[in-house]
Amino acid sequence: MNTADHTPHFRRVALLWLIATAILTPIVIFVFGPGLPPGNGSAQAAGQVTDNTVLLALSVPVAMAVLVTLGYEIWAFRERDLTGPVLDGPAITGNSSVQMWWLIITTSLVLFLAGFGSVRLLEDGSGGGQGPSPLVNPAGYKHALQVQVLAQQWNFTYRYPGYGGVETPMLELPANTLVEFHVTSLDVVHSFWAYQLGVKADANPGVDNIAYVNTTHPTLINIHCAELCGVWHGYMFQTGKVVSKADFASWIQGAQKTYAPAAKNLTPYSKTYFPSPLGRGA
Amino acid sequence: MDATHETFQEEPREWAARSLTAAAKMWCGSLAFFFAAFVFAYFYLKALDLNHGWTIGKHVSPSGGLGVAILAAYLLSGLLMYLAARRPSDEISMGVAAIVLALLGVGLQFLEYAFLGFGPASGGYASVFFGWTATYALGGLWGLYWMETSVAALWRARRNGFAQADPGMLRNGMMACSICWTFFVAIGTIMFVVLYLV
Amino acid sequence: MTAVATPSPTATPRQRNGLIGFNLLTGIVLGVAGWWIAYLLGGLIHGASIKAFSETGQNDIQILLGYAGGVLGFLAGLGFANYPIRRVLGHPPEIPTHEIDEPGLAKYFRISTDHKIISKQYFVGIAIFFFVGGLNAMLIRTELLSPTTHVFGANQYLTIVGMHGAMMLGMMTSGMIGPFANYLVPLMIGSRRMAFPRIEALTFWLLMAAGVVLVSTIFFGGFQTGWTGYEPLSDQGTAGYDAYLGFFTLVSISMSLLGLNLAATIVTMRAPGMTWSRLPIFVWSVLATSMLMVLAAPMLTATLLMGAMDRTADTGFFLPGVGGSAFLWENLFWVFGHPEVYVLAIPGFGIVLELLPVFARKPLWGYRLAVAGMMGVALFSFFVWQHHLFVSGINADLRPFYMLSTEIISLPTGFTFLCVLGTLWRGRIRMTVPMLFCLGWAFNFLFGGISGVFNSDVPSDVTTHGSFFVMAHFHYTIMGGLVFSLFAAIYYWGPKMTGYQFNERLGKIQFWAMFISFNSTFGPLFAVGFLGMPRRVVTYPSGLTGLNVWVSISAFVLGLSLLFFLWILVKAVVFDRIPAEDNPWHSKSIEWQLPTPIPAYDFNTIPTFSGDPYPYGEPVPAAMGGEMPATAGAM
Repeated sequence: MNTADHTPHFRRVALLWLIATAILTPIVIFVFGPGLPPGNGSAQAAGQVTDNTVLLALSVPVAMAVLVTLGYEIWAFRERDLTGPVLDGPAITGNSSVQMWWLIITTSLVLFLAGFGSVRLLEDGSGGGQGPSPLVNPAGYKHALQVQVLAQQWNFTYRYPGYGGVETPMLELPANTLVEFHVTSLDVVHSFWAYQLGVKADANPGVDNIAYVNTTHPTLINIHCAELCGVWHGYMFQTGKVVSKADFASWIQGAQKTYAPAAKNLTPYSKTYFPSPLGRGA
Repeated sequence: MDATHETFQEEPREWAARSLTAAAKMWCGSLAFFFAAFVFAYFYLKALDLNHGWTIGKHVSPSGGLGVAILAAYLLSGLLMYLAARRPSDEISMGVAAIVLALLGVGLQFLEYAFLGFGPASGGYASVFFGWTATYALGGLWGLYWMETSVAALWRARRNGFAQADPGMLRNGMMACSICWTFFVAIGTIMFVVLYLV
Repeated sequence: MTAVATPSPTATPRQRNGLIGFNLLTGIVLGVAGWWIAYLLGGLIHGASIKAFSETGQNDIQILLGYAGGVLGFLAGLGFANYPIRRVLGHPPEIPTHEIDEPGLAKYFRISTDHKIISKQYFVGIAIFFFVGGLNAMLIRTELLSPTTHVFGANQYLTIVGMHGAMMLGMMTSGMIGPFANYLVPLMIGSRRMAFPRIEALTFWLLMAAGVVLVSTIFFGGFQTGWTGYEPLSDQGTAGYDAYLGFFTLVSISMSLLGLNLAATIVTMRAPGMTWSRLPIFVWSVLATSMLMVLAAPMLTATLLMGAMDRTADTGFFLPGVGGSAFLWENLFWVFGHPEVYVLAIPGFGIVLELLPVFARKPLWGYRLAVAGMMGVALFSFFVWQHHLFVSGINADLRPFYMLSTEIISLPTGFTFLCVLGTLWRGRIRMTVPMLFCLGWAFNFLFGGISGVFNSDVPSDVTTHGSFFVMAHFHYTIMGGLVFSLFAAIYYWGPKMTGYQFNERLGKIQFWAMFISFNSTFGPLFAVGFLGMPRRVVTYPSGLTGLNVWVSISAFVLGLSLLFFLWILVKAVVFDRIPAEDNPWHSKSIEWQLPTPIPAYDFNTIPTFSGDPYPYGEPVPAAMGGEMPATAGAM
């Protein structure tokens, strides 16, 4: 490159970036956006899709800024003859205005993202485990359907304290209902992941981990353990259901009858359980 | 570059000295983070008190007397090491006294275990108590080794009139050792306050 | 003052080259002996107090003591006990120096205190364990070729997963620092040696012992906890988990000593003229990393000791039933664990920024910004650890804070990217193999960083946490970041270190094979995670078979591309043996001004530094000022 180069490199890069961003951002929002996880199985799941869409849309201009510049630099400033004498580029050691603008733009992006994430989190808890005293309580949480998720090596069972503390081996939930999950463990750390509901909460021994979810329409739920919990961790999965309110009512009545003999031997319902000794002995 | 030894230039003398004291100060940072894990464990487990397991059984508190004796031994040892590094006239006697007191501190710690009246299984407090004091005693053994080498080198060098060793270098070693040892004793004081008084 | 620091060169005693003496062979013999002695003694302790120690149904005391005895025996056999014993007897401190080049290979099989030899020992030693870890990855991908178990049992599979993770995150912390910081820092700052050459050697041999300890887990039933070792699962683990404890304890000790040594060297042993503002950017990155190692690694040591006491001495730090808490492990582990991942990443930043000026033929753009970036990352990394625990129920009220702090850490990381782009701008970019790997780093790390934003956003993390998305994210930052920059460093400094040229054409083939297969392996895993596949599972929904098979096949190609590198290295060093030029890259930094191979004493005279560390480039004409004015010295 000769030092008197007046090619408007910067303008070219800016233009390329503008074009790439203008084309890719709508594609990301309208083509990939609706397909992003975890779907619309619950209000919280749909909220996560919105979050993922916003993050993906914002990452397009950022990624393009770096990739377009990098690609342009490789194309425009590449030394094509490596056999000739080694020539140096101009001794530019920095540019304070570029650095200032970079700092301003990335800082505002970061602050926006943190603010956005916090606001979204504070709206409905986003389906994540919130510990024993939730920061975010959705409207009407006092009348939520309480479901205790009991994790143990290597299965999940569920107790419904509103229905006599009956313990069932499968999860069924009514549609259009606010559900309050109380996730706890009887042995090691597990994680209750109900994919379609957008719910994930670690099951810790001795800790009542609360997660809220507003179910919407009947659907199947894939349930996995998402924290390594021992040898058969890979087999710790189930299928749950969201059913209509009427179906749920008849199902829970049936369950109360079916599991009544077992319920007699259950310890009383409690937020946490401490089998003794806990975690000692293989 | 020419490999002839005639032109070989030695490194500046102050490098070895400075790097030792700088490393000693950084090592204090390592010690602080190491024991911070136990401080964290203490307050975390106490605050959670899961299953009312902070103390299990009766009389889960160590006897104050031995605790005070251990602390006194360490404190005095730290003070003597501090002085030994700064007063060349008394460095040997004070250094030896510091070593003996540190040995006493470690010994008393193991004596205390025999008379505690509770074991490591007596809940969260007992876990932190045993974990912290035992690792602290291990740290004390390491400090003993360091103090011993520093004092022994000075002692041997004094016997033959610093014929083979540079007194500045050896005293710098004492200084580095005293920096770490006094810091370690300060951690021991915090340990006493947390485990016996809080 | 009489000189104790550097005895005269002729006085350096020659070491014996026989089989008997303090060398690796003696080390192994005494290591095995030490294992058995301590193991049998441990059995006695168990016998005497069986009531107190028998709760885990196996004698962990015996095994842990066995490991301790084995490691001590190994170190004593290597000769690490000699100097401490002399010091206890009152002999004055000595600083080993190296003025004589010793021919032959024997010097690599015993303690050396020459930083160049140690760095080569590190390189080979870590490469061995890197390939063991890589082999584990291949086995994992073989198992995941089908949605049900077909090759390994569940326990075997988890042991392989745990070994892969522990090997890569434990050994590879020193993967960049070990070979390259040990080699380059003394040269770049003009000090001839590290501050504590024996400790430098100790960190290497400790790490080798650690690797062997980890592999020995297969004799004790393996461990099922992955590299994070979450309690209380660990407490119920078989004796194989003791290998994990021993491994990480040794690694953490090695890490803190390595960091201490490097930081002390950089702070106190810079040659005249090597001011802070002339420090090469790689040395800055090593300094930032060392700070993390010095402070974070001891925390891990303490945490592991607590875990070991839970298993042997009946304490209950992590057992909720008896007053402990599983959260305690998660907190303490990640207080160490997050700085740890930056221990892996920051040296990569340093390598890339060090190499770009050489190949763009321009000064480093934004030197101070780059320094601020790396120091900022190091500082912030202590304040983000709970982002690993967003759905765990720990301090859920603090999630907005940890979301903010995690996203703030992308600012200093962004500085590095700006410096990369700025350095290339208007340069005369020479597309050599090291340069290709630097650009590969920029591409991969960009996607690693962007996917990190999804993980840092709590609502998005609810789905991605614990899934293959996270796994893809950190492989993009570590494999795509650290390992790519590591290869840049190998191709760049390799000729200097080995003395032989590497084949440029084969290197380019290797880069493209590795780059494409890397992206083809880990790119689809983002989708796999989004579709709901948790990490560390041996089975998965059959709908994900197609993607998993694609990933596995790409992973095998990736593995082959790494084996291909091994061939390039062996070909250059064993078969072709074409002597490397002194300065093939026309670099202006000091190590390239020395002859190849670098003599044992590095410099005959202590160098004096003056001027810019990156004196490339032609003066900028005023005519060009409009677009990118040079503001030398400005931030």
